Amino acid sequence: MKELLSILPEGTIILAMGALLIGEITYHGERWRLISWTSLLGLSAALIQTVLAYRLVPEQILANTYAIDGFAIFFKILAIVSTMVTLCSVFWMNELKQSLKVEAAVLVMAGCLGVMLTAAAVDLLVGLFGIVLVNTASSLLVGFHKDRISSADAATKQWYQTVFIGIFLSFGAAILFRYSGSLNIYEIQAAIVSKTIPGVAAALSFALIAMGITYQIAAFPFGMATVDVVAGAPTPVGGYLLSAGRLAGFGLGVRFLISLFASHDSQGGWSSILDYQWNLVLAVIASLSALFGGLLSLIQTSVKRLLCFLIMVETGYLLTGVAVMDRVGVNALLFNLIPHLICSLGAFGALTYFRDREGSDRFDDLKEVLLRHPFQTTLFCIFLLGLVGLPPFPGFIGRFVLWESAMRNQLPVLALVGLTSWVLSLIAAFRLVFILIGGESKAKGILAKELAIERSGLNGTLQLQRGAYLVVLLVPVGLVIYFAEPVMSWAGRSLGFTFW
Amino acid sequence: MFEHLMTTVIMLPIGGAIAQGVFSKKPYLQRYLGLGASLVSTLLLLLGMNALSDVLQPGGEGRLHESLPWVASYAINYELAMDGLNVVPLLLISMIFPVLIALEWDQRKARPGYFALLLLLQGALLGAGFAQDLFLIFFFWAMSAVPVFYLVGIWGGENRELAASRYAAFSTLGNALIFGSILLVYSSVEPHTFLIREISSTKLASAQFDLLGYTFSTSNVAFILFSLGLAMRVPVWPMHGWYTRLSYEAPATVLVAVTSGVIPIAALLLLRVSYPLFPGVLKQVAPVLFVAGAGNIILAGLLAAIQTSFRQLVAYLAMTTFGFTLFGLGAVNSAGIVGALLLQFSFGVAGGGFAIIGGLLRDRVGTDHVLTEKGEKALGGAAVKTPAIAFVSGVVVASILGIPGLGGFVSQALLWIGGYQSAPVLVILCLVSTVFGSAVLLRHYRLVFFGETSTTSSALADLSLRERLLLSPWILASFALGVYPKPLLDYVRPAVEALITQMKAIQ
Repeated sequence: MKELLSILPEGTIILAMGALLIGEITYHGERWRLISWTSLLGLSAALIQTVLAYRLVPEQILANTYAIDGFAIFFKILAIVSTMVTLCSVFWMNELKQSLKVEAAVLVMAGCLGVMLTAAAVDLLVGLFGIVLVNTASSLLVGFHKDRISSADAATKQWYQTVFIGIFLSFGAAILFRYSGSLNIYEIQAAIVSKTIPGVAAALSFALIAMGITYQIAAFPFGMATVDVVAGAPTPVGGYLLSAGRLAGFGLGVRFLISLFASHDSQGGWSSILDYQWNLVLAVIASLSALFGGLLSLIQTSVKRLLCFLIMVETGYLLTGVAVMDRVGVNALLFNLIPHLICSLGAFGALTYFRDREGSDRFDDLKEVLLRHPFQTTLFCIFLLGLVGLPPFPGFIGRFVLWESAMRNQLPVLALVGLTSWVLSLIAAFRLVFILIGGESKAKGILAKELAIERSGLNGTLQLQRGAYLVVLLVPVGLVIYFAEPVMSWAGRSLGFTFW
Repeated sequence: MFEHLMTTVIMLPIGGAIAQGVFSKKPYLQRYLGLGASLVSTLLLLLGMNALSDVLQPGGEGRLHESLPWVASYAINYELAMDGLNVVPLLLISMIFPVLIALEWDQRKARPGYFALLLLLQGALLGAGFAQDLFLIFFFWAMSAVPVFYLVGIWGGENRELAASRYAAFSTLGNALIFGSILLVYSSVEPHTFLIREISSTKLASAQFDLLGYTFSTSNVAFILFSLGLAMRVPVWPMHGWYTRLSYEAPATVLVAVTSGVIPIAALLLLRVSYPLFPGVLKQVAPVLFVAGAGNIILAGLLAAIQTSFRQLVAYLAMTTFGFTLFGLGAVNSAGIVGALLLQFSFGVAGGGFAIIGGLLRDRVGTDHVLTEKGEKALGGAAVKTPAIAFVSGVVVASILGIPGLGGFVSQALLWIGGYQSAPVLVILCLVSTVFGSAVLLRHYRLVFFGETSTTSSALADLSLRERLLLSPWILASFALGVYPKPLLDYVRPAVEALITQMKAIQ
């Protein structure tokens, strides 16, 4: 009974998904309101239950496959909030057809369930199942505009990604299982330490699992494929892929990499239990992600692609948190995830609005969009600058902690690369902001297109809701700046799993 | 009463900026709220100055102080202070911004946000001026880059895109360098802290770090990063390209905000951070500061000679002035540093006034060029038609030239005295070059205001009563500093002397 109570949030989400599907089949009245309220209420209930789970004692449940601990709760909260924001974009924007919104909502919620599973998984199979669930839901969502070539192309690429990530993770897990006879990560770690698993096999397994995870979090070089996927996907789905999809990767990555391939050292951090310092591999990937993301962001002409590369830079920073192998770094990673997710979801939310109204996300078509949509443009600029960590937005506090941690752990190159890529990403962001606020509009045809969309029927309430949920997102941004210390301490406490 | 005075001084303009968004459909309310917030902030600062004069002691000790932990686990503190070092730039900012907002009262109606951005800039600069924690300094300083980018990018001239982009590139790079510097300082001191007063410069001087197999001195690298980072936001050769472009494209009020707001705060930060934290490095690089200052003065003086636009001239004058400032700071003596601080104030009001006159000319007759492309007089004889503009221009030109009785004289005299003690030859060279600058300024003045009244000048309207009232505090401040500088000197000199004593004790 207690175990069932522990997974109540997951159960509530499954119930909400079921209710949506049943409602879709049986109810033929005014569906739209029913869909939005059912899903948002279901997620809200799951969120409350998740927060209440802090009152439970940390433990492994369901035959030691699933953890109820601060780390899992932290990621579950982020996953549910990300899903709620994504659903707002799906419901209140026009890019997805009205008739497909139930399916979209169910798939987004299935993705949320996948993230929750990965974050709590202490069993290789459960983690793999969670990742596959997220990616399968994402692949279906990406292909929603199957009449568009770009969407179909993106969906195909996303399917490839799903398959490759699955292969990398499952082969890595299979090697570990072959020698240890267990799927529990803590038992496998003990087997690596006791050399039950040969060094070469453990190293190969690490390489495969790390490849799967870096693919999932859209780090360089795999992130290049994610850029194409997001560019072709419907805009709210793109935002979802880059938030919930990567969240699953970080949840799995932090727990698995640290718990499987590292052990505590005397200085409060971790050290590799493999024959080599695997964190240096992550440091190289982090540096390349930050540098290439920054450089490529400078030459983009599409807002979606630009956001993808800026997020790749951010991925590099977040990966730094694991590469430094100490509590401060991982703590900073978790802290940074909060403003990062809010700002990327906010930016994609505002971009969805532009996509609806302007019919494009290309720089040329969005010139002087400030004049046409001042409110949404201002919000977009705030989220964009927050995403690249410009003060006074909270991202820069997280960056400081990450780079300071890198310097303290004798990896100053990471801080240097971070600073360089930060400059590049800030310049790219400023360039986009300038295009949105200045420069004459070349595409005169946009107005006609805009009017056509206007006529397609958006009532006043919808207009209000479109802006309101984005404004609501500003609140946590402000709170994270003001309450940086408690938020950081919350993130720090969420690392308790490693001390079991 | 003064418990949170400095926070209130900073937050009032920022609150005013937020209120602009809340009342976006009521333009009149927006303006009154904006001006009100800026003015009340100024009044509170004046109250703070009064309180500071009560606590200041002859030895330079005593300051108003506010401190709260912000992110305690990383020793990041919200610590503000008002003392003799920052009182002058803060006063300047508080005097400038309400006037700038009032000057734009009927302008820029087409797009919302102008007042909000000016207020945000005021709040950020005040914050950077008050801050005593390196992290907080960076927070406000980096924040101050954003409003200028928007102000130039949206309301700038024909080539605003280029001006805004250059500004963004330089300020971003500068901020990253500063961030790198404070990161290095923080990591090198034990226990880790960002508070300037808690960082031991002795320990910092002996700290080293390894990068790519080489060993570097922390204080050397941190000083270079910090000063280079600041240099990206001020008109210093060879990084001055953004500023000369901005001076031509930005609205006049924005040019004043940068010239009289951002640049003085940059000078203050160089003083506030480098003197207590890097005294050894500073002593070593003092000749470099001298040469950089002298280079700036000579180069900008020569370039000013070929300018035909009022606002471009302001840019090169600001470059010259910052050269003087580097000269004063590099002198590492009381006269030089006090002169540098006072020069920020005197040029802030005079150069600001000059830029405003340039803006007025452009708004009213479509040009601020004194010569046409063919080399003929574009304006001329304006003094007859517009005596008030001629008077204000005369005062600001005289102040910039350092004519006795005006603010520029006191500050420049102190600078030369301080500089002569350390580098007499360079001082003489710079004095010769200032003759060029003086000749150019007087030539501009003559071409616009004297001689036969041109057709363009006859269409020029004189200052309105409101404009006269708005500019009068700046003119009065110029005279006050020139005739009776004691009140400001009483704040500044003891603090500077205490800083030098502290620096020598460390060495």
